[in-house]
Amino acid sequence: MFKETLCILHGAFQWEILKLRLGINHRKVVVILVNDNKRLDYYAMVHIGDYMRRKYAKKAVVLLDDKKTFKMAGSVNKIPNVKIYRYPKKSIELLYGYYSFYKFSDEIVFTYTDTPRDNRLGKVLEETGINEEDAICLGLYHLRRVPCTEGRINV
Amino acid sequence: MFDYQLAGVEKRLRRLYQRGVLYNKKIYIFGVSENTRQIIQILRSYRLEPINVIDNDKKKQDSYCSEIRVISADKVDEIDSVKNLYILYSGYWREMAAQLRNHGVKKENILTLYKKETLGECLIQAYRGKRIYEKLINKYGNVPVFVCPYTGTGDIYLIGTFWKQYMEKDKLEDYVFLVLSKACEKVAKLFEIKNLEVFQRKAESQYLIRYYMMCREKVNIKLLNDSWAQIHTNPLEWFRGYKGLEFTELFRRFVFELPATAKPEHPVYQDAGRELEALFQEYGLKEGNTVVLSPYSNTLADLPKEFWIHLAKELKGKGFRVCTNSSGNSEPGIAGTIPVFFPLNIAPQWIERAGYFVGVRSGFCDVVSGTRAKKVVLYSSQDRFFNGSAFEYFNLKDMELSGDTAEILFDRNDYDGLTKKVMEGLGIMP
Repeated sequence: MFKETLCILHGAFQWEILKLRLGINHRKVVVILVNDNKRLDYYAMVHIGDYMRRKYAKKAVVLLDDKKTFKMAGSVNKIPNVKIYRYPKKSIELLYGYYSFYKFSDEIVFTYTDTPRDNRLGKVLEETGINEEDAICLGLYHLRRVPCTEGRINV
Repeated sequence: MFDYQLAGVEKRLRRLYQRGVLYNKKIYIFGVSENTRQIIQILRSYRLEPINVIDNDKKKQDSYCSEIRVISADKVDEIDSVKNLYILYSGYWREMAAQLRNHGVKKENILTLYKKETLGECLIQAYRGKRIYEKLINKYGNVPVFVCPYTGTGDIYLIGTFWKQYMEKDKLEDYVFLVLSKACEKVAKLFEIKNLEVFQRKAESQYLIRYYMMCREKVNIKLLNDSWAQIHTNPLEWFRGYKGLEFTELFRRFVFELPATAKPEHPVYQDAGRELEALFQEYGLKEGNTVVLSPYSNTLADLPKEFWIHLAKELKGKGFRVCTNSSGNSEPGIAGTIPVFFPLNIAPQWIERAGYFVGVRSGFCDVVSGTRAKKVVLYSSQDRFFNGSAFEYFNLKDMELSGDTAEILFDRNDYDGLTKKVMEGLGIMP
């Protein structure tokens, strides 16, 4: 338990640094694309504006590690107040380890589908009629509905 | 909210009441939830009645929460009036407050009761949870620990209906089964679930779950719920009622991972004949000629007393004995009926012996759903549950718990004709 506590405290420390570096506050949402499911990451970008409205946020930060996802996120994003940054996978994992224990922010979303083990999002997508867009809008952004979007692309 | 959180909210509201802050205020509560229902109960104990509950979810607007109409923020009369007080108790309080502020509501007219736990508090909880876990392991050995962190008897009943199949699938013989209340324990006993432990305090379940959240890979703890809000990394609850993900389906597939061919199985009722015979005699009830009324529900809408009094009168006029499922002062008997407390471990046998049952949808309906009595279950057409209506999510037929129950939707603004429908549902000519 000592080791787990240290990991959590390490994650907490990292979050504080991230907040300082990127000026994260309650008016700036954070979306972390983890590349577990490409379509999920895509719809996370498509609906980021809806999420910002839901949270009454003025700005958003998108963090990701994967190069292709970075390219996709850049091409989908049309909102000037959304900034996209590369962030190492290990750091994302550390941050998520902390988040899985303690919900340190209500304005952060990770697109993990099967981590930690009680996250059933992957199973929902695999076995039910719920698709990635539903998953983002209802499950992760809590928009309560799936807003219509125009000009979708296939990924 | 947990018992200690509820105590904190009660204390804060009491202080505000004593200081006169709530006096002459038009109170609005933001967000339909169980927390809001609890706050309404506290306010009512001071004879304060909120004007409306506000909710942004269009599906919930125009429905009722503890008999209070749910509206959108746009429909609040003079929303920026200094006489209004907006109470928030939700993890979404920041958005709610921002929305109200955008409408011109002043900060001092927004009362946020929600208090987020700090990291330090969560770490302490995890360490407390570790002690609870170790105690259980010392007592039962290194066996799976199943946790039911809720008081809903309906959830426990549904778990029970799949328990045997689940044990067989995972080849489990030994385990610990943790519940929050004696009522839940009694329901679990219907299914002969063993090694039952009742938490001393509700917060203990939170500690245990927090420990699990810290050491997921090390401990053998399983939560028996499709999605529990404390475990925020599982978003399943947000799909409830969406694209066919209803109550039974979610439990079957996501709690037990059983195939669609697995059906809920009612328990075999133990013979309680002698006990019931004595009780029927004591209450002056007649076997096969008694109607049990169950007018209370924790989660869904109740019907007004007048309806039940009228129904009881009609039934008595037809020669029935009528009794109310009553747990004491908080749930008193309907006037003109015999108040009876049903121990849940023999409730199905009670109802079967009585012969007739009428209730608003509650966990008690699940418990008696397998009986051969004539049953009527009532749902408010305005009740919502996540992405669907309460009826769609909880009806006993789709839950595969009962095919012979008359399930009737009622409109809150129109009770005319409901008595007749109930009588027909019971097979009694009005």
